Amino acid sequence: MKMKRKKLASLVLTAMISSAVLSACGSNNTNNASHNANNGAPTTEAAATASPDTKEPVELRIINWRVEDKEFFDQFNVKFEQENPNIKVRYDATPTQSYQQLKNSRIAANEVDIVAGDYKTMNSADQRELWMDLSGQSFLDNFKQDALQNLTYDSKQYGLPWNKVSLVAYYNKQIFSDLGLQEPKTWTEFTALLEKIKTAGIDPILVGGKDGWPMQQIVHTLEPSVVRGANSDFYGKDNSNVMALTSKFTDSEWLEVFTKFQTLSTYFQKNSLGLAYGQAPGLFAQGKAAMTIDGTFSLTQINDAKPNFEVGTFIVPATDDEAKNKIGYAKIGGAWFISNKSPNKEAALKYLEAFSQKDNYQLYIDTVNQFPVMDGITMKDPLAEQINDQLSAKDAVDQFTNIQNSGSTYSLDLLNKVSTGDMSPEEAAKQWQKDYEDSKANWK
Amino acid sequence: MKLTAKLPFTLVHVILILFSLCMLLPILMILNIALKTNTEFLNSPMSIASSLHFDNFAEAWEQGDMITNFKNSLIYTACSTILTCLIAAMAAYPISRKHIRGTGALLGLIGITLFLPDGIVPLLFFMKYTALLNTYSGYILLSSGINMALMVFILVGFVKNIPADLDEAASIDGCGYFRYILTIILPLLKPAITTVAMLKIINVWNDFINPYLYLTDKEKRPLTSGLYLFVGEFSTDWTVLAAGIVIVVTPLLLVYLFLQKYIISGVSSGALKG
Amino acid sequence: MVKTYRSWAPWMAILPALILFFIFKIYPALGTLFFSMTDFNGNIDHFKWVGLKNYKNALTINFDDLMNAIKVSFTFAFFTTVIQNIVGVALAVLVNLKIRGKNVYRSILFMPNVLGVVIIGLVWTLIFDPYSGPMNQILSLFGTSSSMLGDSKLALPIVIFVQVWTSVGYAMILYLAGLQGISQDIYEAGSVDGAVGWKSFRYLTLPLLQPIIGINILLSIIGSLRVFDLIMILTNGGPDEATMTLGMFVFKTIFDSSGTQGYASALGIIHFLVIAVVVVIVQTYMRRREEKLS
Repeated sequence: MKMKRKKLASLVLTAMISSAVLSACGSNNTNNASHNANNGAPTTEAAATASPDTKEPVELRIINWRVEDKEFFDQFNVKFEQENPNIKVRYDATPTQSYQQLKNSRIAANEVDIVAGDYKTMNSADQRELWMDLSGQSFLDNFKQDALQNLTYDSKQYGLPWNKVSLVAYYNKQIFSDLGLQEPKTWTEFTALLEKIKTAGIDPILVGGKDGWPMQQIVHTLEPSVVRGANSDFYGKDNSNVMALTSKFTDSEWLEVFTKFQTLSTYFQKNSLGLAYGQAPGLFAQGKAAMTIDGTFSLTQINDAKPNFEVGTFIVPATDDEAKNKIGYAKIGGAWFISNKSPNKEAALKYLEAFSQKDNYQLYIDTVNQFPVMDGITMKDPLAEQINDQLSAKDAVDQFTNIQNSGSTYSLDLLNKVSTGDMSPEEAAKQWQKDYEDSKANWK
Repeated sequence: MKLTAKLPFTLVHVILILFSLCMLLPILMILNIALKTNTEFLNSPMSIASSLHFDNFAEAWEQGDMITNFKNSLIYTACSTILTCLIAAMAAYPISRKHIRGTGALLGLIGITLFLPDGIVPLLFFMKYTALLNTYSGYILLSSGINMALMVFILVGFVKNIPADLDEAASIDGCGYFRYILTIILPLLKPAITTVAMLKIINVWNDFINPYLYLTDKEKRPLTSGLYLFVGEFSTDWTVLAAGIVIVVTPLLLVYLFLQKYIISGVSSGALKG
Repeated sequence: MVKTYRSWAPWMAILPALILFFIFKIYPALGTLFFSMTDFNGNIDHFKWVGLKNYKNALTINFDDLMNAIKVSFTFAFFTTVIQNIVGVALAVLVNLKIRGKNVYRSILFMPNVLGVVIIGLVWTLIFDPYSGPMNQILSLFGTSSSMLGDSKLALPIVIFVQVWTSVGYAMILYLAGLQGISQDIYEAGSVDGAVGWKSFRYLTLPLLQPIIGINILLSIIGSLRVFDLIMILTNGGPDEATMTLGMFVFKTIFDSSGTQGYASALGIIHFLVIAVVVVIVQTYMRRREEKLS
């Protein structure tokens, strides 16, 4: 009996060891492969090898969290496969909640070639190491310089931008004209307008607060004009001022943001913290509130819910100072990254190149209704075109959390507590500064 | 039973009906929503659907690639259920009869695995370097293995109920060990195996995270994953989402209705003795 | 029993199960243990051994968050377990009566167990939706309203309710089996001594159900301490971390750009240890109780 047990133990052990050895061998292989890919195809040349000289079948593995963009990728991937018969696209999209898990595991197992990400995907040295440097690829020339700049670090281009997103107030023109209201130009006008709507018994602002980040969007709407309008170098390069504690979140600028957020929160619909974000655009389109402050990415959802009134938009005036209000918020909605260890870099570059072609990119913009980051692209939707004009009148700055430190994304709880009145703006600012300083060990 | 004999039966019925409604209404509500147009839903979410509107089902079916997913779900569920039942029953017999040493330790280990942490990255490596990643057989093995311990645990309890006299009768017969398990024990375990099978069916059919991690190919995904994809895509269109839910739930509910007699008697008698 | 089988035969019989068990359960857990002592962050070529640093960080920098998560987990597990078992026993007694349609009741009450977490989560999100959900329409009849899952005081009770809704049928079935295992003679003997109605339940049924109660409580505790997917869909841990259970906390760490995957693994191991401690305590307590009774 005893011998049998030993035998079994050794059997299991062998199985486990062999799998470990196999995995080690495997990773060596892929390393070699990636080295070869690195050495064999210097990045500048890779673009030139667009003509299909290798007919070896390639499976191109792409992951994305934009499940909403299914329609575009269904078409585009088929088209891409037809043009590149040796490449089979394995495109995968999961909802945001589980995307991080998917991304981490696929990268770790080197089971992915192209990864959808954003600035967070390249916010630390060990993360940047994962991505191929796209500098010098000819297809980059199609994109606007400032959009590319957002995905550059130490003059290496890590990501290929998809689009630009911003935040606007969508409003119900019917309700506005019934109450004799005009688009506000200043913060004072804006709050007066909110008060009027509220007195008329209509919910002024609809917010899907349950998911948290829609609350953050309100802060992102206010922050650029208030903070960077007052002091354009508030954060300093790579957040240096904030890290050196010469700029604090308890400074008057940020206190103003929190105070104004509190003011706005009194105009949210009742129980706004319980409404799932996904329902907000549809309910707004059904005329349940006068406005909703939301991303430009929700335009499609609002249109799809077929509002029976005309929708207008304006960018929330966060201060009374025209010059400050000129500073607006815009960020890259997402970007492609190519895995540095990918054995299929050539095919991956081809995919990005195809994505960057004007006609494909135009189709992308038309289908997903997002704002283009390429010159000479038009938007079909008149409302989108209008927002685009409004945005281009602004000096766009990126989300202040762009340079990530733990703690620089203030805790959502603070916002919730401010909106329910459980915390004053001063307390929230103090708490945030404290949380930020406490996390110093994690600063990168 | 004496103890509640005095409780008026009407009261018992009222209580049970209330609880049953609590269980049923949410599902009926989803069905109701699935039959509405989006506008109707947004304006009067809870009213009874004014007319039967099947477009949502068509849209959900089409958008969710439900035909491929449906086929995959059937394959995964059927194969891993059969595999699990067979392997678990084989293992349950010697453990229950203490034919090997250290059954106590083994059962303890099994108990611990009820709450062991998952390790996605290590498992992914294993799947990758054994070429099991993104294959039907790999996923079937994974979903059989992932709670094999629990299934063995349940069956061990059942085997204890089978009198050991039978074993002796069989040994006189000179019946081979495996043949004995397969021909004598397995048939006797039928109710128990139905239970384990149902638990496994529920388990595999409803899994939505593992398919994403271990099946990189969209064409190999099961139904619930298709539905999960929907959650993002149609987060603003609850009517289509509700239709998707109905499509995913219906087959499972049918199987349940068909097997419920066994499950309810089985779940109980098995888990107890374990 | 006369040994007529070869001594390797039993081992061969459990071998397939054992192999699957080691590959898909033990090995990944050991892998997590390994990564928990590294600064692994997705880049498999570049990670190094950091010893217990991740654990130290969890117990220092994130101490408050960790304690909050443990507190929420325990609250969640305590109420889920208590309510589920009380209601479970009660329902089991009722459907064990000789009443019409008892099988229909049993089937319906067990039904939520058939539904997947995604579906349960979505259904209840919709029901508790403050704008169009039926719950607030009922509340509005009483002239009040609430943001439900968005309310930091209500969110946890609602999540507990949904968890109980999901699993009370399972508890009921287990208790039902226990009840059916109790011989009628005991009650008849008891009734002679005046043990009828509540008394017979208290002094005959409950003590006899003791082992099943033990199993049920253990299963409820493990199940509720592990849960994260239901919470992920219902509240994603919010609002104000009111529903941030330990499982959810571990899952969320993967998102936080500051924590590495090594750190998340360490939290996973801590999660495991917390459950293990609770299980050991509960089991020791119950074994003592059983010994006392017998």
